[in-house]
Amino acid sequence: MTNPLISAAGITIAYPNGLTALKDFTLDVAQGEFVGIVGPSGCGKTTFLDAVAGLMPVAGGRLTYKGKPISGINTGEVGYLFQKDSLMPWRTAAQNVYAALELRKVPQAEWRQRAQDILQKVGLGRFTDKYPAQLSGGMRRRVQLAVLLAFDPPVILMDEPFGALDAQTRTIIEDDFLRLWEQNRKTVLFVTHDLEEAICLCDKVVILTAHPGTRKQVLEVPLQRPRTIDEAKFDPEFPQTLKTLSTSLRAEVGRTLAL
Amino acid sequence: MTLVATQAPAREAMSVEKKARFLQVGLLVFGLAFWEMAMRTGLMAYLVPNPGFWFSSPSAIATLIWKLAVNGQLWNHVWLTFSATLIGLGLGAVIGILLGVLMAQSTRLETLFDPIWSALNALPKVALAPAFAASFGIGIASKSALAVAIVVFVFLFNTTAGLRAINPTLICNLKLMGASRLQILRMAMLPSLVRWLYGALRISLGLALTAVVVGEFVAARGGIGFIIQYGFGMFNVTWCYAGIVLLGIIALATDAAMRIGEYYLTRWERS
Repeated sequence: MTNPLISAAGITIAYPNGLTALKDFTLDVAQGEFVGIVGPSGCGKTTFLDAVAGLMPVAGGRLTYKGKPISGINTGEVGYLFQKDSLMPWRTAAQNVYAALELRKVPQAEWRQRAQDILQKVGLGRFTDKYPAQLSGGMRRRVQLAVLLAFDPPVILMDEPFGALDAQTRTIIEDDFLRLWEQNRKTVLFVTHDLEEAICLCDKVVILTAHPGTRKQVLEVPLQRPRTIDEAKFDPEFPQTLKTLSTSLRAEVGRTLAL
Repeated sequence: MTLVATQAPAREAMSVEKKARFLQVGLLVFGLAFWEMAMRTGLMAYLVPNPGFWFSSPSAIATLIWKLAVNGQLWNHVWLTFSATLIGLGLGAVIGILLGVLMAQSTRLETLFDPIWSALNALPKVALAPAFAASFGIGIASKSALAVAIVVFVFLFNTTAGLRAINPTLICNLKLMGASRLQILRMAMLPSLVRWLYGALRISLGLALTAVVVGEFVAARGGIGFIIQYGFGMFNVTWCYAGIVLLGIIALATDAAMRIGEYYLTRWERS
């Protein structure tokens, strides 16, 4: 690949307790690529996202962003949709979006309108002045998505972002996210346990081995874009892709349990 | 549907609260009436000679407070105690919060100072009252200083605990979006401290009032502690009880004001 946006070459990452999370992991991500990362629990998927965000130092190998090694927090370049809630509970949905606008140095006069537009986009037009405690889990995720959109980073890291939602809410929010993504095709690293979700959303899926995680296989998803979740699931290519992915991952999960 | 479901229990809760208020007032009135009757009917006289001398009575206390209010002395005393308490609370809060935020900046600093704060906190600070009267004079400065010495630790400990309880994911997210230390302080740390600081404030109110009254016992020209001490010196317990009633009113009113402020500042917690 010529000039990948994010490039990991044989990287090793250790947890603060000395345990190796990722070992000799190699992956290139091009600008605008939607890359899924799957693997057994504890194989270092989240750790890799943390490393790309600069929240976790790399112990060995070379991890670069736009050709430069990542050292320290990758400020301003990556948006991170954490597994846990990152909203400010004392701010309304709109005020949470204001924070991103303020940090992007958008003039204060434009905040209200911009936040209103963005919340409208994620389907929360009527909930701009609600506090997070007044919103459902799915709505809170949407607010976090709105904060990401307002911040507008070149790279989006997502760590099982929709894992805690019920199946229906999840499909709807995934469709919305795909639709928004099509508008500007940001680079996305998407960690998930859900293989169907990975196939529906991603261009390629990286399968990690059991602990310590390293790259086992990269699977190209042979589905067309733009697509919706249902279109993906009923595509004739879907079952075979799922089977390949599932077989590959099952072997690794089996190894985790054997330990 | 939801409207009905949310309103009905709210109305019920209010009526329960109202009933509780009636009961509270009733108990108070009953207690006072019993006290008054016991003194007037001579019931107490069977137990001790000259009961008014030992126990005073609600009417005597009310009359004294009325007299002091009319001749104007009351306001001076109340103001001395109230202002010394507020100054002590305010200064103690500012110093405690600043120290807490400072300690949170580095683990090394916190490890170094932690045993010192613990030791100082465990010390009974009211023992400092005579020393403070000597150093800061018999005006309100010595009373406020004593209050500061006590409440500063409440704020320090609550600030450190509150800062530790902040959602780390939120801080990470702000850092990724390029927030400076000051912006993180303003956007995340201070707002999430509000709840903790209100806890500290309400605990501190009683402590600060205690400190000021003890300070006034030791050396003062006025204040509610002075009224109580004066009553004791004159063998007139009515003055002592009048002082206690005034302290109760100050404490209740200040606490109510704090609750209102807390209600508005923590609206986001209620769904």
